[in-house]
Amino acid sequence: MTDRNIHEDRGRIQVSGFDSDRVRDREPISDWTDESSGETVGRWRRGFRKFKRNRSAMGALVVVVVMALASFFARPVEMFGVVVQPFSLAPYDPTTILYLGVDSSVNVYDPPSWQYPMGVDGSGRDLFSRLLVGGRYSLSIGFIVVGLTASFGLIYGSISGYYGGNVDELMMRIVDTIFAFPGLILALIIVAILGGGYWQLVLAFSLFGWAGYGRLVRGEVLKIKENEYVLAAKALGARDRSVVFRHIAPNAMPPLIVLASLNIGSVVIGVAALGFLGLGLDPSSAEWGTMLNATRSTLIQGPGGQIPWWATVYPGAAIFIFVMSMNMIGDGINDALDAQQTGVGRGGED
Amino acid sequence: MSLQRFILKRTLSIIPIMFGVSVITFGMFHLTPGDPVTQLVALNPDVSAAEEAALRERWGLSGPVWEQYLDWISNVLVGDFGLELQTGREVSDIVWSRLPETIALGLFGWAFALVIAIPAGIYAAINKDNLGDTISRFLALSGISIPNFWLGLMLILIFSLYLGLFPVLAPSRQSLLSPEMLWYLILPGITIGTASAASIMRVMRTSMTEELNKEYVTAARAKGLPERTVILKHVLRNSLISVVTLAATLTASIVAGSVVVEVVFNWPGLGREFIDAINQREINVVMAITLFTGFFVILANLVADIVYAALDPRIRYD
Repeated sequence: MTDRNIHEDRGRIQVSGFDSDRVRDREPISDWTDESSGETVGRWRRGFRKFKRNRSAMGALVVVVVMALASFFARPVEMFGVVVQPFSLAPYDPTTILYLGVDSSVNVYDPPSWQYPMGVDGSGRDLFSRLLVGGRYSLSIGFIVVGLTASFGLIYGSISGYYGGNVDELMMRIVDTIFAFPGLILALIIVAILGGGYWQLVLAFSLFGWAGYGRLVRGEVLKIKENEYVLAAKALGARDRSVVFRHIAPNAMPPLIVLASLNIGSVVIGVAALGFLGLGLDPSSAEWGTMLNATRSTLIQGPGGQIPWWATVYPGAAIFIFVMSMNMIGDGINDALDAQQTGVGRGGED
Repeated sequence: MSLQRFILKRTLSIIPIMFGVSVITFGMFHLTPGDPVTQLVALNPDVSAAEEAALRERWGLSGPVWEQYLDWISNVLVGDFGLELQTGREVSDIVWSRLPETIALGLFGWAFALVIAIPAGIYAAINKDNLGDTISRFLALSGISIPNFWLGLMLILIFSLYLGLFPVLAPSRQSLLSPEMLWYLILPGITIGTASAASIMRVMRTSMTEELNKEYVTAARAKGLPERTVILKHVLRNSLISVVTLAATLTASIVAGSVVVEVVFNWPGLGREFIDAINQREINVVMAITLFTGFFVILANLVADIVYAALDPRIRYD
């Protein structure tokens, strides 16, 4: 018996540590499986998992969600005459002047008390209610503007980077030109020309705000289009449009998302700055920057010589906390998506 | 490419951008309905149609748009921005008279940013992941997140009103270089420099951390150089290059910041003039300051690029 075995094994190369079962499970020729084709999803999922482990970013996300919900549920929302959202967290309407009818003992610039936790503003309105409702303006403008500008910048940058040559030259000169103006200055001028208002503000920050995304995406596209899979798609006869939007643009997304998340904060600051300069929304509206503008002149001497710090501290702190949280989320996304790239590289080891 | 050639090429490349800047500036004000004459007529209904036409002619508002543009740009090129409509003063005089105040504020902001950010960045990179690093990173994140107008108001509230250390608002006119004026400059300077300080600190920390992992650092340490020399002579020099690339962006943000900060502190510079001009619909003044800002940012970019190319020769081959 033993003799025979030895005979059979003669001439064979012994390979130790080789697991033949793994080879059998594998598909021949290529290692493609249904599972590995889910690569794009997997990449994002891996980034998301990493983000979830980032405590400060998750904390910031909670803050942003709470602020968004608080401002949404602050007062009932009506759309086309139908009440969409009946809850009301804010005790008073942001425009209600308290000493007229509600509570005649209230004075202008009453300090914070149990009944009015953030005090009363210069027109006798409840600051806490105004602060809650005010979040609607800043937050929604921030997200709308970033959505619009990032989408347009993605298209613009993809076209410029993909076609190259004179098209690229011209398109990038336009971006350079826009970059010569600080964004706030352009927004100021647009609002000065169009007048204040919600959609005017959106337009003011969107009209030129896409340039940064355009430049970023173009740079990414220049790198991505050197990849073999782009050449393969072209060789298979894919049209330019499908090469750009199916193969190139999706791969330029991670840095775009990082920039977008960091930009929401700067748009919110910009909106508040315009409000503070008296050029944003209606002076009586509860937008945070506009609220600061209303108390600016009385910061130095309130009635009776006291300083009404609450009218300045709270609205500004709301902007600060929101922007800080957005920036922490942006940093978190940045880390998560960076890690995803090295994770792909290390994939073979584990 | 030699450095001279690079400078020449890069300098020539700003010409189309400057043209674009002038077109955007002109276009924003002239492609919108309601020129200054229409507004003036709306304010004074007794102006006759003939007077209106004459006024349009005199201010160069008749004729096709491109003709108006050529008219305007040829005046601008010789430094003539027209008159301020209400006072009849030369717009260029107004800009020149307000400029020193804004430059003083911007320079102070820059100096503050560099003095704070570079040591903080070095400290954070050396003590990576220590408590000190965590605190300085948190402060940097706060610095880029805080709205400058609110920071200004808070500084006034704390240092001027409660502590009484600083005068509240700057006087409207005062000789700029007097020690008294320097005292007025501190709070607005800090306000305008904070965001830049935070950005520089973050960049310094990242690039220093990267540089510290490179082999030349190991080599320098291995040959027995004291850590101080390694950091200050080798690592710092290479990390500062990334600050140069940031400089142009930060200059633009300081220019934009000056508009807001000058209003907060009642600082008599170009930024406040800009806001006043917008509120009073002084289009010539607004256009002049807009164009000036654009040209200034372009030049800042040019200088930053040239410094970058001089420090890092690889850039010239891009």
